[in-house]
Amino acid sequence: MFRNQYDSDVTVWSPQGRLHQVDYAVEAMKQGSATVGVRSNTHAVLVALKRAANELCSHQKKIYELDTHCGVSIAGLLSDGRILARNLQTECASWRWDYKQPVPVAVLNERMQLKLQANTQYYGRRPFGVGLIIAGYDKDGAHIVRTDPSAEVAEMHATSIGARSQSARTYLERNLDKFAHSTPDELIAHALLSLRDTLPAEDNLSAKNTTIAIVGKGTPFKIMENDEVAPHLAAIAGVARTTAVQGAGGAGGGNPPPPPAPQGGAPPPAAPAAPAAEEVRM
Amino acid sequence: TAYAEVEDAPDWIKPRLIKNRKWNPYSMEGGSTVAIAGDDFVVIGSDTRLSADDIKVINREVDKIHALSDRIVITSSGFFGDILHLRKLLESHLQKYRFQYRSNMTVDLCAELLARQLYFKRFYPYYTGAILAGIDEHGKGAVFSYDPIGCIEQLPYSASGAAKPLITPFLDCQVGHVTLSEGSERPKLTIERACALMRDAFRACAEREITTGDSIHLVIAEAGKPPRQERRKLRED
Repeated sequence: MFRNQYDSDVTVWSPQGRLHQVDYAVEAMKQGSATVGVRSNTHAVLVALKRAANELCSHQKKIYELDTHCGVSIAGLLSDGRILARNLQTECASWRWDYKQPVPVAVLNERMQLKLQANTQYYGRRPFGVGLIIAGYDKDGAHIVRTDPSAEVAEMHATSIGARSQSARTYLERNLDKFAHSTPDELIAHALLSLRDTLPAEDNLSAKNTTIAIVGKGTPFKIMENDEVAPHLAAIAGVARTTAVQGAGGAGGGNPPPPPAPQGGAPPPAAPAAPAAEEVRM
Repeated sequence: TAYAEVEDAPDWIKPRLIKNRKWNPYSMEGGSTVAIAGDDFVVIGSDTRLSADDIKVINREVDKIHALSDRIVITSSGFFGDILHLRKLLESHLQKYRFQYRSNMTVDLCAELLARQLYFKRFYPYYTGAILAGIDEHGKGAVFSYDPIGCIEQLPYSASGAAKPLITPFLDCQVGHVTLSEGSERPKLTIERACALMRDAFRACAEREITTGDSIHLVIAEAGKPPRQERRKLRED
């Protein structure tokens, strides 16, 4: 779209009431590789697709531990994301220094919101080109929080950001009522299944390109990579993809819940309907 | 002398000002701690009593040994407020290191860090005789001993606190073999022997030293294992 006139600064509104620089920053977030966050009543799970630029590169680090009770997953400009992760780490450590307790996730949300918004209102700054999913567990239970370059910080039941994340959100919306009482393993399976939907048909999740992190009641924040990821991938190997060719109600094997069977033989929508495309918010 | 009373409480100064001048920012809570380094382990022991004015017992079950990570343990004696603060300080540094460098701080780095932190407060010191113990990168036990302003020394064993002059000669004899007679046997320093020596040392202190007692808290850190703990009762008088 030709909108060059009002997009030189973040401090310039367009006649349609948009800040184009912020919109462009959101586009940058949408180009990062996908990541998914899901929570139950007792646990919160993050999964992320690690991209490797070519065969010789190692896969990038997408999930950062902030404290024993929370962590963050990043999509977009990873260098911006690292700065935000470090800022959050400092906030967590600073709260612990003052109060000797883990920081409530609500406090982190507040601080993050203010920090992100500052870069959308002052001349000479640019918005952070990265979205975060914060997973945390505090006395109010498990939390999944999604942040945007537009400084929108919202608590979610489940969310996904990054490239082709709409497919993941469709899966999450369909299975939303199953999350609250899921066990940690089931929650990880749901997260992996939704993440898998963001991949093109010929690709698959592997131990090399997937990271899992979990935090919750009795579970300090733990990141799983490579070998530790393999058993969870094996658990969902039998489940057919919801975006793949629809066999009648693919029977999943063992633990993970089978994908929803199409109702009355009607084919599931290949592209999600527009209203259902909105991510679920609390 | 005749002047001492007047110096102590002059008539021409208000009582509140006299009290402010006499206030001491430090207080000694007594007790003692010991650490012994072995080939692939380190044993740290302390008593668990907090006293005030040397004679009053404030608490009989206080932890003076604190594991900062699987491989680093800090223990200290002296002003308890500063002991608690040092723990917080080191934990904060260890956490920051972990996030910045993506690996855990090693015991030798932590030892230098503590020496520096102590010297930063050279003119308002942490009133503590700190001992840092742990397993180094080669899997060997290490004990670092400090004075209140950060003089650091790596030693095979170290004691700190009220009973330091009682325990140190005992360890010199039994662990360092410095004062042991020529014909006496010199058994190898195993974890069992180190723990037994610690218990003996603390029992000896509890007999003769007023601020040590109530119970012994032992922490044993071995290469490749999380630190384990033991407690034994001691004299309560």
